[in-house]
Amino acid sequence: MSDIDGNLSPPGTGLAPRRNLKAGERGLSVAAGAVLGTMAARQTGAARVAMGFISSLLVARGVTGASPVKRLLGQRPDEAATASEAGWSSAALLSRSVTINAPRDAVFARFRDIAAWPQWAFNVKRVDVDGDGRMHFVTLDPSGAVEWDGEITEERDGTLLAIASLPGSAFPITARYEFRDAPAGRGTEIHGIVAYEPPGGSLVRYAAKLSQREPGVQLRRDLKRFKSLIETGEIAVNEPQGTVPKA
Amino acid sequence: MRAVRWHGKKDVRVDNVPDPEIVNPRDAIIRVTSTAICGSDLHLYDGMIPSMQAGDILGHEFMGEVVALGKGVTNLAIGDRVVVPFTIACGHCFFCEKTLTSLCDNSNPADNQDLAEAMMGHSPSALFGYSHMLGGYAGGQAEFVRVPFADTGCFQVPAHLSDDQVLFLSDILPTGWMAAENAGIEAGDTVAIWGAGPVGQFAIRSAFLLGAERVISIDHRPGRLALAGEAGAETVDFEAVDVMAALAETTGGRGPDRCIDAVGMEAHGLAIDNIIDRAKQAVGVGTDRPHVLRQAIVACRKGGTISMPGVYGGLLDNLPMGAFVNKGLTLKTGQTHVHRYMAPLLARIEAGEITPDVIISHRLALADAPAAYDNFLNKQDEFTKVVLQP
Repeated sequence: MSDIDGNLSPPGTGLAPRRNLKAGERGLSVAAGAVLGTMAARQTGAARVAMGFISSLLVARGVTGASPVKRLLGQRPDEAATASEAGWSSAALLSRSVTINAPRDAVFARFRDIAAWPQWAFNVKRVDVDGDGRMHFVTLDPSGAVEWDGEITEERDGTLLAIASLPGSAFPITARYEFRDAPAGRGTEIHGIVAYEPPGGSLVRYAAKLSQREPGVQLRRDLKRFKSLIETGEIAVNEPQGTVPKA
Repeated sequence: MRAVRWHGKKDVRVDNVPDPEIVNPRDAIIRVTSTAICGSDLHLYDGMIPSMQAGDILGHEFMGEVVALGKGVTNLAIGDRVVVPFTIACGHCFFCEKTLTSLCDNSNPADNQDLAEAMMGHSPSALFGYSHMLGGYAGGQAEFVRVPFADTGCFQVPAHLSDDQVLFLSDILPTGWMAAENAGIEAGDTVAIWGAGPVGQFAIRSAFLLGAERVISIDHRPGRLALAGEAGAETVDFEAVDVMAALAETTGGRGPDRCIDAVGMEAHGLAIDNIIDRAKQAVGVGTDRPHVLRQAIVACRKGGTISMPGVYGGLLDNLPMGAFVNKGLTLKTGQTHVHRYMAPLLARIEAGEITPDVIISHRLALADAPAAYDNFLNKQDEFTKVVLQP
């Protein structure tokens, strides 16, 4: 989990650099700010103030080479690397870990039973596993139910399970789950990393989050439900409260 | 069935709703025989707790009779008389195994944990009838209630003790006890307790049982102070006496060794800082009013302990952290790990060391709940503790 220099940087936690604009973008930003500033000088009242303010932001963006908005909403370097490796137009990369109070072998065995995933992964409606290891998934995405085929791409008993959609799938996704002993006998850590090609590009994934069917949201909740199932034998539900259901 | 439901700020109604059913294998359904209104229910009533939804069933202090069991519950039988802790705990996670049951990892459903994580970094256990951030479970101010993880969460009580004697094992008696335990009382200590409501009353009695030399109770309701006096506490009416000066003078200038904030985020009184906090709340730029915590930090003896059973909801401003650091204080808090205290406190009730029913002022029907909430909030001197009998 450490880089060569020893800095801790688990997958999915990297940030884009603060100075994230190329020379061309910086020049354009300063030029646009200058033009807008010139136009602002000819205005009066509120328009003058507003245009002047935006003009100064554009100039500052160009001079510093830093765009906080692009940093927040754009692709991170690790996502860009994932996309180019997979041949996707863009990638969303998400990670989540959870600690389960049970031995690693038992946790892995339950997790490896992929046909049983719909018990705790509520967005997975069905998984059919063929004899040759091919899997057919029916999952929910913001547009509704989608079907895709996947396979196990890497497996090490008790420590690693990686799956990926088959090439040409309508819903390109990879998921990698590492299983480690927590320190001092405190159970098992699952480190999940999901990468997918967001339909409509990296901005649309933020809209998908609102629908609660975004893979990052699902990864977080699914791992908690899996933990609950292992530790307690059931998944906590608050029914019936008689209130308006959540989205 | 009939249930007390929250419809909005200061809007509580008794409605007809569907009966609860067994959902999970470890569930039980309880027919509620007694349920109480808690001081922390007033934070909901005042609209101070985020993520309440109109129609939520209230109530987290309740007891009754088991009328249905999931197939996974083997340690209970239909007809058992049980008290239910307000914190819902799975019994098997890292925290439950350490008896830190109010920190259970699994009782808050995964979807509901999102908001708790966003606000607090991690989700604590779910509570009955206490917002969707904390589980969204239906509460026990109702004729029936579904109890999840009932094999861990139903505590059997003997027939010879009345409901009034054991009901408060569900919350406020263990809460008062844990407050005193968290204060780390040593022989000879003087303990100052802000708030003489039900939790404060039990904290007073627990502090004496844990070896306090003197207990000083601070409030402004004469009836509540009188009840504190009956337990052996010295009392300070903050409307009539300068609290900080009185605490310093009566302790030879040392300050109380242990301070307990049994008030929380909605402090009363017209202290300047409290008025400013109220104004901030009114315009939506503040949440909690930590007047008591500020006083406790400054009043406390150097190297002393502050125990905080009072509920805080979110952010608070202008805490004297410099005083806290330089005086080397310790702060201990948390929702009560109720399960841990039920058996030992039941033993103390049976031995006559604690008589919980002394705090009950009113026994009413479930239908009286809307008026009871209003009176508990607005006539605090008369309404010390309300028990509803569905």
